[in-house]
Amino acid sequence: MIEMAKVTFEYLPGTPLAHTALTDISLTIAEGDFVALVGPTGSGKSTLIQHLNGLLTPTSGSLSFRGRRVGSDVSPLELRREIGLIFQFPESQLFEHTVADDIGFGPRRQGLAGPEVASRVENALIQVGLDYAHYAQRSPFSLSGGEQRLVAIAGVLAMRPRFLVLDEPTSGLDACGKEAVFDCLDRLNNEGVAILMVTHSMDEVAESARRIIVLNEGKIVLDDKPERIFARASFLREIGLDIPKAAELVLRLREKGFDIEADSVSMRSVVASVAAAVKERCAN
Amino acid sequence: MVEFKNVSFDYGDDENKINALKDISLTIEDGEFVAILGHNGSGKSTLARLINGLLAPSRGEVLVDGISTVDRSAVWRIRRRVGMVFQNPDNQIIASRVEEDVAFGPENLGCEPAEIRARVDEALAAVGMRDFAHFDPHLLSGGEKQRVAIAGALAMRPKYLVFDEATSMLDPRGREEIVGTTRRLNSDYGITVIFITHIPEEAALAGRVVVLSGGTIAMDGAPQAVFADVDALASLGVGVPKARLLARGLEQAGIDIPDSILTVDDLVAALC
Amino acid sequence: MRFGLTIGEYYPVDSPVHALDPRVKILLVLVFTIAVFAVVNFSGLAAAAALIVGVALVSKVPIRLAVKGVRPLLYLLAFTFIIHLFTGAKPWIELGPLHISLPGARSGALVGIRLVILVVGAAFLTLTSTPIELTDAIESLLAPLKKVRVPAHEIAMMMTIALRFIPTLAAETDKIVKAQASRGARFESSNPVTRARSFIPVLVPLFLSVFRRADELAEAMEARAYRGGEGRTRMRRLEMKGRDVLTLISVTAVFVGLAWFGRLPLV
Repeated sequence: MIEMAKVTFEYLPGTPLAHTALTDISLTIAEGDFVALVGPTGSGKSTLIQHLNGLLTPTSGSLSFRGRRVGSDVSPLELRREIGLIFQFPESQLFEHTVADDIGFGPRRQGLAGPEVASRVENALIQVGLDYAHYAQRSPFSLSGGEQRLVAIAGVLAMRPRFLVLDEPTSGLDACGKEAVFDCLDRLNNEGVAILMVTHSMDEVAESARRIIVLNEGKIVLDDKPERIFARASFLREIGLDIPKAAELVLRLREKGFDIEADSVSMRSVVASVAAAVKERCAN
Repeated sequence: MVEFKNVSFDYGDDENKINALKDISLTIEDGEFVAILGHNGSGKSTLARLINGLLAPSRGEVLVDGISTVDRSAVWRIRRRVGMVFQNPDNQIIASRVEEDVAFGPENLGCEPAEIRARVDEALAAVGMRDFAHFDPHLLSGGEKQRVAIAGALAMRPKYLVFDEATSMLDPRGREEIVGTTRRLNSDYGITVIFITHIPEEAALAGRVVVLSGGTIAMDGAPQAVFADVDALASLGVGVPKARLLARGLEQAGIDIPDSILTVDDLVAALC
Repeated sequence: MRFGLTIGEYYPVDSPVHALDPRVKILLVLVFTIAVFAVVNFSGLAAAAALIVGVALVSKVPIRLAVKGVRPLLYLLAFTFIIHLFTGAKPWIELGPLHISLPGARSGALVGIRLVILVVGAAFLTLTSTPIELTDAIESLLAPLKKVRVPAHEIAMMMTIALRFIPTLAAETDKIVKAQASRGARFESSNPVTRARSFIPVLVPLFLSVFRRADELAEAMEARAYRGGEGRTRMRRLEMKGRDVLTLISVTAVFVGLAWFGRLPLV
């Protein structure tokens, strides 16, 4: 379990360019969670996630991992073995001659022996849905953008983190690429890996996230289940965020007097509820 | 008018030849707003670069207002008419001040300083970036940088503007800015727009959608017609607007809905 | 990401020095450098220092910003002084195989102070001129050399693009460092060889990225009809005004006077 308690972070304190990026952030990510972190550009999402694996240290407040305080009881390096962080456009971190070597970088840094590293590499490729025989010995730079993305993700998965934090993992990918990433994340979550995903696309998260945290101007303004978050459509729009098309449909129809029960915002459930409501209306 | 006449394009040498475009024939009339939709690797970017002569066809001909793009002496006339905005907002901007970058095109054309100044002001106004003229591009958001890139192309007074996945790397706000600017340039200034994208909602805003798949044109028509057959598009590696998916879901659940729905507005109107 | 003023970065304020044609400023720095090297007495160096204080006042730039540039040089200055001290003529104190020399102390001090004066003086060039102004000035000054095949336009274009990408590449490097650190990479080894190797996961992706950017930028430039310097015009042209010429001549005269004064048999 990751816990942030009243974390405040200020960039360049004491200089004329100082600014507070995060104020009083308190949140908990439980094992196995699937959380989406959303917020307008500049709300502090990047700053927040860089605290989770110790790249940044709070100016005040604390971060704890499984009850142990980060900084005093657990070092950032140890933290990075359990909490994997994947930046936006992670393909920019690829550098080795072969895919296998690049994915093995993390495990080798950890000090693992050859056979263990090889086994981690193999498993990581399976987890991202790439065929070992076809990809392992190729140069990462001969791959397509979507494939490179998956290799970069595999590089972090090879460290076997129990928490995975991703910054806009589908940014720049086409429909197929996005699907491949989401399939991978759903699989991981089913295996018990907690996922925290920063995203701008509400449509995306509607299908997978079980919890959404909304950040605005460095503060958490909402932290709840998707359906409840999307019900606050006008507030979200005010701060520059959209809601998924499915949720928008439900809201608009409710305004027109339809009685829609959707308790989830997945496409399937919305379609079913809307169909039911429309049939009922026509029958009357 | 832009014409593709039996155009094919191959990458690589004889041993590793990749056939990116296969016998494409396409005509784009003045004033159109055409979206080119396709999966990654379908040949969209190749097609974009053939229009302004950055690439020359392996077979066939590309003509811009009757001028062939392989005519090396005329390629500069073509680049004056065909402006291009690329995918990466950063890798198009060469100067550390916005107005200096927008001036780059007219400077290359050898315009007089007063003329360049006028064009720069005009172009920045057209994209709503007048107030940012003295800014360092590094301080701008992705959407703002792309608008500067558009201004840079506009300063050449082009007749055609090609957008090569210009919104792929932007957040939703940035995408909205670019799509809005592009539609205005087409409707208010009469610039012919060729908009390459893989985002169905953006393609749905065009007057005409051309679907590219595996190097060939698979579909060509109005958005309502193209997005009607969801499964056919899926097999071509292309999605449809979410509202269309919702409409289809409802259709399958027994509700009577036309297959020309593209937006939530359309859908709400159809249901009430 | 490093914010804040880097050494010698442009300090925006209105002053006669800021308004001066940047070509004149560059030429005056060159003349100043020659003059200061010609000075062989401390009185001359004191006069030079006084001139710098005068420039600082007229330019309305706090002199401490110019002095910041000296800090990185302190080791070099100390080292230079010591070399001169121990290798000068006329040994004064013997210390075994080494000796301390008074003439050596004097020349060491002269060299050191000269360097400080040059660094502080030259800083006023970048403090009072924007990078764009400086690039334009260099292009203009080199233009006559095109006759002897000096690629003035290309040099200016390279400088412009390099300046434009410095913040972008700095941000990218930062991101790559963080991404690799998140995979367990460490960069603080005390062993210099290990430390150098630990930067491979940063340098390789960075270089690849730079090459890719260069390709894309080249395409974008071609798309806007770039074909080198031939037939190119500029939106902004540097125009030398009477005031600029006058300043160039009179200040040069002052520097010549400085050189003369600095060669008199004074302290």
